[in-house]
Amino acid sequence: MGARMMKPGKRSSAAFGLSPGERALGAVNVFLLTIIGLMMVLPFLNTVAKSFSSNNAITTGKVIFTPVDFQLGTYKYVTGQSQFWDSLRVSVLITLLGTAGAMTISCLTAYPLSKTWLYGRKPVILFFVFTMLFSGGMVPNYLLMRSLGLINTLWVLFVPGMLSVYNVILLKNFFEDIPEAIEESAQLDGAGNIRTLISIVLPMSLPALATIGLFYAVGYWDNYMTGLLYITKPDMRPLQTYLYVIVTEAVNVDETLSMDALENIALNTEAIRAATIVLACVPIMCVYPFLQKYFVKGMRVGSVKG
Amino acid sequence: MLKRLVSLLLALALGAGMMAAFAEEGKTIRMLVGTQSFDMNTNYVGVLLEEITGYKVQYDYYADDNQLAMEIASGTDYDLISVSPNMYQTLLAQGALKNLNAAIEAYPAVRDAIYPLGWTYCTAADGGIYGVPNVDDAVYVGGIGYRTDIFEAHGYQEPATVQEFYDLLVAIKKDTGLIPLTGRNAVEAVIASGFGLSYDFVVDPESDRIVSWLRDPGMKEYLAWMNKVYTEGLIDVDWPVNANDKINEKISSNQAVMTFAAHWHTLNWVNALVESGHKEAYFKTIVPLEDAQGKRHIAVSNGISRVFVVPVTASDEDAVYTMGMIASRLEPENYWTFNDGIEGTHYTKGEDGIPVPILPQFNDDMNQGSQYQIGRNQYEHPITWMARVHKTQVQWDTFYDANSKAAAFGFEGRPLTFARFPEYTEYYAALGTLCSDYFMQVIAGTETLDSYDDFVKEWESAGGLALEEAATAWYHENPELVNAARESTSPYNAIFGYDIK
Amino acid sequence: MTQRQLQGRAELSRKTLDSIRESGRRSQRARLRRSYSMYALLLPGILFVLLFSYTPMYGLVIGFKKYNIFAGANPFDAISHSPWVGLDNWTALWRQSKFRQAVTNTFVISALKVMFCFPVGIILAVMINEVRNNVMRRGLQTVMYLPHFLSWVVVGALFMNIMGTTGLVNQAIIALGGEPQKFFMDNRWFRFLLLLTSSWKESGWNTIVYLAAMAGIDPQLYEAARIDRANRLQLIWHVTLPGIASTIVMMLILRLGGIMDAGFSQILVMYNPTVYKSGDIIGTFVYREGLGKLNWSQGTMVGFFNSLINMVLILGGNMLSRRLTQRSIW
Repeated sequence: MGARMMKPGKRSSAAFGLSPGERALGAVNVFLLTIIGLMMVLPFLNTVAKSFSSNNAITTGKVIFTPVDFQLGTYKYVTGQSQFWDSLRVSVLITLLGTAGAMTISCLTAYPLSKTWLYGRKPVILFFVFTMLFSGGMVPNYLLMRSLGLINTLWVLFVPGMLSVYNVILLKNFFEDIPEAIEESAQLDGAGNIRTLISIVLPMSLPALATIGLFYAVGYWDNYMTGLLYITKPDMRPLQTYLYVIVTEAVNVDETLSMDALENIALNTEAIRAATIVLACVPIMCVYPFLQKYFVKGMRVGSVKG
Repeated sequence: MLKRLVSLLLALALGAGMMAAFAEEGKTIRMLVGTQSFDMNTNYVGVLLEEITGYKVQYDYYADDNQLAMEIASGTDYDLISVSPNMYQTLLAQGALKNLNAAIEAYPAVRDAIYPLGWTYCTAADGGIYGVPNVDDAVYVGGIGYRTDIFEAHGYQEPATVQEFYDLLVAIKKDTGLIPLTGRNAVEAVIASGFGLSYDFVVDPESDRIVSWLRDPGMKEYLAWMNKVYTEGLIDVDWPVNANDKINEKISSNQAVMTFAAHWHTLNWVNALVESGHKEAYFKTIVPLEDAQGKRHIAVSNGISRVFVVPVTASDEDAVYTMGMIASRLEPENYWTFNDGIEGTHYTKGEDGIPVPILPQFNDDMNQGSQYQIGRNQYEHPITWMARVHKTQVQWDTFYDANSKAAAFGFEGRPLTFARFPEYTEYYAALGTLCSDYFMQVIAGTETLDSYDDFVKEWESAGGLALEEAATAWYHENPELVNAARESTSPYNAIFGYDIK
Repeated sequence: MTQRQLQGRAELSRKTLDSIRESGRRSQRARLRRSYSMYALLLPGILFVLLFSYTPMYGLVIGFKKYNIFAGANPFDAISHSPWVGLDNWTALWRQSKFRQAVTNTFVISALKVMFCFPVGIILAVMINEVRNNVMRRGLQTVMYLPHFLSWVVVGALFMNIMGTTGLVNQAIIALGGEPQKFFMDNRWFRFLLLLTSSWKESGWNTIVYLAAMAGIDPQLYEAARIDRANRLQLIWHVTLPGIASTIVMMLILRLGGIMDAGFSQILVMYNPTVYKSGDIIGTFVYREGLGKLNWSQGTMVGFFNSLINMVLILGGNMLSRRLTQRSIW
């Protein structure tokens, strides 16, 4: 377990002193990353600030990084309807169920494909890759969902998305890097494929699983299209579909010159858009720190040694 | 035939007085409408409507026409569907819609409440009515709004001609250093009028054909003029890339003096400007300029906005029942209630009978009222709608200023308002984009007018020629639709007491 | 042999030794037996794509027909009732010079993105990986993922503010005595703008895969290299990069499979008629062309064309990679 406990940052610097030149290099690196990081976070701060600012402050371009004329009206508008909470529930549910289902089926698929000795491996991979390239299009997909009786059900929101070939290939690639010898020993002990996968391969692939899990979760959370296409019940729409409709509606007020539209919501369309983005990010940002510990260097090899 | 008879008998049995009794049976009408952010089932107005009419309606949403077509082609079981006029024509041509004649006969009030022209539009070649139309009133939405405080300070007058407008731009730029005019439309109606342009397709009086404005020599002159003022820096350099929020920002932060303005814009602008120290900031409207003949071309936004249809699969009884629900919404008292709310709670009536909303109660409860319209009551709608422009004095002033000025010159109706031929559905939208893209390139100078003839050829082969031919044929077959559209008058003239020229 | 090659060899040989040892030990029959049981695990996935991806593929024939969804008793029946038109849906587009230009733009923009945006994620990942302070490191990671969550509408508006005619960048240019640029309305600048915004938005997010791959590198390799007095840059070059090489190759091949999408939603938000010459792509062209129409046939046809090109590139990329680097997806 020793290697696992060792902090990655301390590893090399403790064992080998850094030369002054390398220290300088490290400082330059951190400096550059900080600038890049600022370039990436400041616009986001601007978005957050806008979501809390008054209409006047936004239209006159006064909002930069802090809210001007602080207000909560935008959030009240977005979250104020029962719609929002219905949608939130749907989104949380499909993200949890979908990610769990997707991880299961993806691991089961990626594991055999990671074995170079698997008979027929190449055609099977091509069989999967082909679906990444070609799609039947909107009409047959709609008909399929309809004939499966999935329209206007929660299932349609997560079941069809449970196998992303892209993610399976990433996962397969990670699995390939696990030394075959370790699995060998388990197999010699009489473990079947499933047990080897669960007790050996998966624990050694935590960074990969965290990555793919994050991709699936974000994919489910951000998907508004499925809800738009296959759900017609207002109270069953996922959150992103609901937010998408709010934003397009707010933008369309001016575009269509529709006089009966929401012409007088005293709210700013930019603010509404900003608030929806913030609301959409919050859950992912809450989950992320928990995943982050799996991105630590040396994780896998450490656990192997233990 | 038997079916018809049965439905007629059934219809007769359903007097208006029995409406409520029938509704109590608890049948729910399933209605499919374009998607909304709010839940129409639980919204205040939805609940209110069920209370006052007794009809239970369940609303489902569809995202776009593709999805709607898939749903209908797969055999839908909805009772009523709200569709765009284009989609109405498509569905009608495919025989996907139910003939509503019998149902309307059962509720003649529905026929009487809606503009006859709307019915003409919805009547097919076989004489059957296949939809209930929402007809937009002819109303002048807005022209170029200008800052009255700046105009007063420098003694500018509202321009009437293109030359005066040009001089105004020069003067504003010289005197204030601000952007004289900002905007984003390739064809700015107020200026285009000065070159004799009104709509993208007009009736050419000489040949009595419907032709594109590309054929009008005024278009080339207009583009040349716009390119000139763009190059001279008299209009916003960001014209091709402006979005609405950028325009709002430029106006309300005192960077620009004029832009397109409607009543829903000005309140925010005035508030922002006053707050940042321009205490006198206010907006008035420049209406379309005089062309060489001294004529102003005032375009109005009228036409069919939605059509409500019953799928062909619905039974006659269900269609009649659905029509009963529609009748209940068009009934004057109900119409007022779900559009403007309850008198005393949501609005008060002024001496002139025009409703003034009570804020914030009106905004809280009634903001979505108009989404529940199924057909518009031609007599009540122009007045009930006033509540929505009457929320604040600033909005009201903008609306009143623009409309009273424009009405004094007379409106020009859009010939293709009631267009219903396949080429229109097929080509119209894409051709519009093709034109405005090219215009924008000319204005910004990335294309020159030397390429104009080539562009017209490209436009012709992209469906422009086919559209012109079909439109002309359609016009000659239905002159009454085109003429009625061109002469359509605004009900607001009566309200404001103006006469049409 | 250079030190680099030695390092690479050491790592490679360890893996190949493992597999040689393994394959030697196993008889053909045992592998076949294990293959069978492996297929049991594959079964759900295979059934899944058969149902959700392969079943709807009959829809591709729509591209070769003039599809009218109402032609039959239901949309499926309508396919057989719609007339064949061969390649008409394609030639109708190809005839237009502006469409051909959009095809060219698609390739050029995509190729530029692969050349310039693709490496940014890798470089960023390496830089983040070199940060020793854990708090700093985590903070930087989190911050860099944020732009991914902003929609293109927001990103477009944002860069419009910064790089617009009166934006910060132009103010700086004027202050330095330069000529202000209309970045959004200038065909010379527009593609650069696309590369810049796309790197800004997605590079941080793209680091995730590489960081996860780096997390799997054996620390002993670093230690061994340290003993050989490798400095920090050499460590990156000889340990980190070889350690994620297979991931990089895989990501590149996958990226080639998406080459025909040059960024539809990005361009739709950022372009305007003045930069069609350099920025109009297949997706945006077909979008404008199809406005207000129920044009499934054309959409399907264009999708099919894109798929074909993507397939050629992903197959070619995989083959080339196997030849040149001995790494491939299959």
